[in-house]
Amino acid sequence: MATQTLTEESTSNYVQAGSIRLHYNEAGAGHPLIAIHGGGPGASGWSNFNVNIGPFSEHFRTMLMDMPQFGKSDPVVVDEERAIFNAKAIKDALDALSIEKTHFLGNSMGGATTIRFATMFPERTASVVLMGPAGYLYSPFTPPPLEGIKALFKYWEEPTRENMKQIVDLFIYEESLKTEELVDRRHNAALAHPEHMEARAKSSRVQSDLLTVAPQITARTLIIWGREDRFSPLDHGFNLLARIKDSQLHIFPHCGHWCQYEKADEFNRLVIDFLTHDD
Amino acid sequence: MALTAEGTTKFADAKGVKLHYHEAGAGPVLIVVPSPGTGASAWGQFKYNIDGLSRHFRVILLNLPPAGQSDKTITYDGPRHAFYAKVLLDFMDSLGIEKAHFIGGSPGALPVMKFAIDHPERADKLVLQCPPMGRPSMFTPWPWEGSRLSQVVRQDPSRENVLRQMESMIPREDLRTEEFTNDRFAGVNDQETNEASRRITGPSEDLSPDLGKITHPCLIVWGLNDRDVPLDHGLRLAQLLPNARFHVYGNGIGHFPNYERPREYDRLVIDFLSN
Repeated sequence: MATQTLTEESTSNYVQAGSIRLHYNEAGAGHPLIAIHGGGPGASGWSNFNVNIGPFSEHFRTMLMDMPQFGKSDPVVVDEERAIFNAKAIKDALDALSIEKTHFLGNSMGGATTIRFATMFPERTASVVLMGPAGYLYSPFTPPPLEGIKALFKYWEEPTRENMKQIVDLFIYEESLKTEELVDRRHNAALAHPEHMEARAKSSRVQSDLLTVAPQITARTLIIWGREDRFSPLDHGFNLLARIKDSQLHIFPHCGHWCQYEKADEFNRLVIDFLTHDD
Repeated sequence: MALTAEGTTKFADAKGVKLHYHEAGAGPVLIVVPSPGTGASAWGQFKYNIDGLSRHFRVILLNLPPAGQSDKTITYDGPRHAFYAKVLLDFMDSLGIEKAHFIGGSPGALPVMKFAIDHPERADKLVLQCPPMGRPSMFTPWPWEGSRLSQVVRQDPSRENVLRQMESMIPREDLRTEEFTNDRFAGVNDQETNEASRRITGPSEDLSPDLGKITHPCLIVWGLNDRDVPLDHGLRLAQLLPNARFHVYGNGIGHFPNYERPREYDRLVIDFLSN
């Protein structure tokens, strides 16, 4: 079956999630699947998952959702722990779309959001895939803040192209994938929405240790990590594996904090297999 | 149409070493090398996977001596993994197999790694299932729970001791079948094999210094609740091997993921070997 050529424009949609207008990119039919991007400057559903939406849309009604204060969603001020705020917005979006239950793919901040959603709304959660999720405060082996996180803060303080290049350098493992074009794209995407930066500056910085709520997750969960992740520490993956009852952990070698892009083919096959079987 | 031990049994002569193996399927060769120590035979450990895997590969379940009906006359006290790696080489040569994928089960993974180090062009991809990588463990003091129980069973392979060991190796009661336990009980009480094992006495070489030479794609598989080989051995292996993915099954899975999660395991392995 040939995959239609999907573009950001051809898949672009909006939904009114309570008081927040959320943008998302949608393709495919079948069981719903929501993919939630990370919290870096210039991040969005499409920028994070554009090499995954094609294969996933052959099996699922796939929705790449821009979180509040990102992409083309509203630049709202986040007045509580971001993962909780995001989870509530997603729940409102599901209600507006009349979606009863959905799979989740959560990357970094999206992973923390997914963990919160799965514990706040378990009846709306099917299977869960976490990629280098955030939501940690402590790491026994890699003292926070990690290098990558420091680079993010540096960019938010001073959004220069050089600082974005620093982020990209730490973000991805393979040198050949760290293109100037990628740096430009992310830097321009961040600068294109000064309203998001302004809202961010006024937003809550509360973070929680989600290991305390992880044991409540009843959904089948696949935890994926890049061996060379410099944003979310590898030991956090093992901590989550030990706490989430029905879980598995998969570590990719030569891979940083963007496994769904850096190991796209392997990632797509692994995750589609996980979501389409329950044994 | 289920495969049987009898229906798949074959024998090979590997430069004078008699080898008993099982063969099924067609396609790229996949040699499965379970532990050669006492316990269930190659068939007993991997019969749960031969149906699924043989739909995609020419699967060979190999009994390294003295397991199964393989050679029980060998007396040897040299480096263990090098010895078994040579057996693998001679076995492949005797069947005219140029290159093969490998699954190494626990201690069986060590000769597989040694083989890939010494004869890299003869190995394709490697699946390494909870191999012990020598002492120490970063977190679990020696002796490990499983090692202690193995020692008890070696000294007295009573039904009670084997049951205690099974409860430790496969912590989930719903996954611990009579069949698996019976196969293990029969294995540890096979006096001929036990006696023959006592004549292969050599040391287990430390392969760590040479692991960087294994550039083959590898898949390391572990159960989170493994009490026989601590999980950190898998992580260490994942860091020392240049090109290894590491998959850990939670949900109470212990020392036999191929048996405890057979369908998921088959799919994971088939996908890894096929792409």
